[in-house]
This record gives sequence, structure tokens and C-alpha cells, in this order.
Amino acid sequence: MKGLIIKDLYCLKKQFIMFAFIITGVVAVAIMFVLSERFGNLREAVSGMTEAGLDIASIVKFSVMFFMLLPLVCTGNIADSFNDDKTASFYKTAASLPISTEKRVLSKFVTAVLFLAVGLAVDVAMAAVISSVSDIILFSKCAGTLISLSACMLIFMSCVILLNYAGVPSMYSTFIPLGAAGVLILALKIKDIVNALMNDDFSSIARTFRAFINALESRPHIFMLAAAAAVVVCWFASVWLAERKRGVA
Amino acid sequence: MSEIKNVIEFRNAVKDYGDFKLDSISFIVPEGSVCGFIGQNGAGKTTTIAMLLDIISRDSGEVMLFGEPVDGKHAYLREDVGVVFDEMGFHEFLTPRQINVILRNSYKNWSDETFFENLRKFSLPSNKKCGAFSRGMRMKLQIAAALSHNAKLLVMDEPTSGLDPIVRNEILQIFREFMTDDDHTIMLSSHITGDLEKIADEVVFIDGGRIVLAGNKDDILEKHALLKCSNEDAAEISESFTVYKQEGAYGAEILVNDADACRRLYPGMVIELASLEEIMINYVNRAKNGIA
Repeated sequence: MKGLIIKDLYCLKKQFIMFAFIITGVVAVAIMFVLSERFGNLREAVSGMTEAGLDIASIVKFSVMFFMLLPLVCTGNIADSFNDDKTASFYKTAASLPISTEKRVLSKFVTAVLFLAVGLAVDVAMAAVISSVSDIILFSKCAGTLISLSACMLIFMSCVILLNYAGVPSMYSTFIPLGAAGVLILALKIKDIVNALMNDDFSSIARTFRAFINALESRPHIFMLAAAAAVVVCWFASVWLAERKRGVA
Repeated sequence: MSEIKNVIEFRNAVKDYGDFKLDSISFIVPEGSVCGFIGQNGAGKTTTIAMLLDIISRDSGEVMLFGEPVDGKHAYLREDVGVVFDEMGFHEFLTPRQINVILRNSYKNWSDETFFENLRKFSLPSNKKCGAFSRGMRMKLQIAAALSHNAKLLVMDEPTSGLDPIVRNEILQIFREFMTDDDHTIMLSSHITGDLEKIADEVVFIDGGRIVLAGNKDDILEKHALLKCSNEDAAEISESFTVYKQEGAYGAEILVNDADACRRLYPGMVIELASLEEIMINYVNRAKNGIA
């Protein structure tokens, strides 16, 4: 199994340049935010304690969070390794190795978790640095959000892995979970959305959004439990599918 | 005298894809032999090999490897199997050195030394991306990997197809060296029967998903012969000897399945040895023409 994980790491190594580029960009933007908050326009806006100042502060907070998520997103591209395996017909080679189907499937999940862990580690380190030198974000809230979003990414990646073992082409397997999540949200909040569009009243949607953000910040354990459940379900389903096909990478 | 073991056994193995069916495949490959698995493209060679390696599941029947069933639960059996596919199977951006790291962590008996020694022997660079390799180099790379974990069985799917005669000869020489060990076995699929005639001990001939012939190569070559005669004389040849009859303006050519009997019964006719290729072509033509 270790061999397959190493192979996947070699596959994803191609993304290291992009990853390094994004990290550099994110760090540069974070430094600019910190400098602005200490010495520049941002400090003036926030110190005025006006409503506009507070709005700018919260926009900045979201912007920083958004930029920080990029490394996480970048590391979440497990579909690439499936693509590479398919291009190389590696599934035949993998099936000829003395590695059971369960372990072959497990190696994909381990690779996904490893890469996600790298993204999370980079994000948490940046959150620690930014929160220690500025008041833009609180480390505890930021770490909570990052862990919650990592859990969401893990759910997404588990679905991608499952869909790939189900034979869905990699180019679609990344969009289907996102589309399904979108449809689910629409289905759950259809009343609020209709109300917002008909009556121009977005307060209900804003409340839901704030509640979601609060949950991300303060309840990472719920997201982690959901991710653990998703990983277990997707792993069993992937193994079942892979054993039916046998020849899988 | 020690008992000869069967390294590979197929017993009525069936795989039905709807448009193609491997129909009740049965044959054995004894330990210490080179088994040539021949058949035209699309005959079912790759599917049979995939079944043997557990890449696909079968619908019914049994497949045994080293006396153990191939049923998705015995991955450890593949520790002793070196595999060469018709296409490389490694990512093009990987170098042989990286492949060594991957395989070192996949096989218990992997030997770095043997692998790099094989690379040197086959004149393969260790730091060049294998996407830049020629077809011959890709095949050699697979063979180098297959020979680096102390495999007792080599399973190869068309390893020599598309290669020039010099490289093909080099590769056959590698197989001969591998076979110097008594407990080593090779199963080699190919439609290039000339290669198999050079090294095979056993021959399994598959056509349209059915085993047409299986057995010792020399026995098969001895039994079959090409009988050449006039079209009038051809009518005298017993149907039971005739595999396939081809009549032309200048006479008939008949592949017979009992050369000795034909020599006795038809002493005036020209009876020539048949090559594996001629045997294969005649059996394929027989099937195409619906002769039972």
C-alpha cells in the first residue's frame, strides 16, 4: 500500500509548483492585510468605529479567510491522480501487485487525507501568524473554521474517490458532489430563496449564512464527525465497487 | 522423481461480456515450462490473462495460481508473479528510479540491486522520464521490474509485438536466461508465433474465446502437417483428419491433424511440416467457415 501512496504523491507532485505559487500569493496578500491593518487605510477605517469601518473589517476578515482557503483547495485535487492512473493504464499494473483491493482503495483515501493535512497545516500556521500580529482574526475561531472546512473538503474528496471507483469520469466526479451540495442547499432553503427573490427580503438567507459561518467557527467537531462518517461510508462503498471490478488502481 | 506441479490451472472458466465470451476455458501450465498463448487479436488472450491476474472476475469456473484459487482474496500470490503488459502501465512522468521506490514499497522481495543491474543490462537510463522511452525500452523496463522481485512466474501479454527483430531477439534471450532456473515458469501471449516456436514448451491456442488446441508444442507440431495434392485427390482425404482444406487453381492444401496416419494412408501425397502460424491460420479459417 505504501508503494501506491508514494505513486499518488509522485502524481500530485506536479501540482507542487502551483501549490508553492498559491502559498506565496496568499502569504503576500496576508502580509499586505496585516500591514494595512497596522499602518494603512484599514487601520484608519476600523479605528473610526463607524458602521462603514465595521463593514470593512468584516469584509477584510472574510477576504483573509478566503485567501487562506486556497492552499486547502489546492491540495484537495485527488481526482488528478485518478486521471493520471487512467492515462497510464496503471490499473492493470496496480492489480498485478501483491496488494489487496481494500488496500488499493485505502491508499487513495490515505493520500487524500495526507494532502488535506498538508493544506490544513499550512492554513493553521498562517492563521497563527496572522492572528498573532494583527487583530483581523482570532486564532481559535479561524482554526475552528479551517478544521470545519477541511472536514467539508474531506467529504468532497471521499465522494470524488467513490465516484471514480463507480466509473464516473474524473472531469465529472469533481463537479457532481459540488452540484449535489448545491441542489441540497437549494432544496432545504427553497422557501427562503423564493421569499428573497419575490419580496426582496434577504434577511432570512443572511441569517442562515451567519448561522453556517458560526457553526464553522464554533462547531468543528460536528463537521469532523460528518467527515468521518462520509469517509467510512465512501470507503466501504468504494471497496465494494472495486471488488466487483477487481482491476482498479 | 519429483511431482510436476501446475503453476496455472484454468477449469471451465467463463467470462461473458455480452458481445464477447470466454467460453469454458480449460488448460494447465506446468512448473518449469514456457507456455505460448497464441491467438489472433481479439481471440481472448488478454481477457484470459486479466482473469489469471485477478484484474477481472470470472462468471463461473475455477482459476488456480500456484495451487491457490484466484478469487480476489489471495493478493499475496502475486508476490511470485512478474507481469509484463502490452503497454507500459507506468506513468510517463515517472523515472525508473521513482518506479523502483514505488515497487520497493509494494513487493516484499524487491531488490534495488537487481533492478538497477537489469536497467544497466538493458541499457535503460534510470533518471529519464519513461514517457520518453521507445516501445522497446518500455517493454524492457517492464521486464526489468518483473525480474527484480524474485518472481517464479512471468506472465506476459504481447511483450514482443511492435518490436523490431533485434529487440525481440534480445527479449527472448532474457526469457531463456530466466528459464535456467528449474522452478521458473513463463506464460507468454503473442500472435507472433515465430517467437513462441523458438522458446515455448507448451502451446495454448485460443480463438473466439474458446481453447482450440492445448498441449506440448512439439506434439502439436508433430501431429499437424500440410498435405498438398490435386483438388481431385483432396476429395479422398478423410474428413476426420482434415482441419481445414484450401482449394485453389493449382491444387489443394490441407492441414491435417494426424500427420503419421496421413503419411501411411496417402503415401503418394506431399506432406510437409506445418508451422505454428500455419496451424493457427487454418484453425481460424475453419472456425470462420463454420466447420465443427
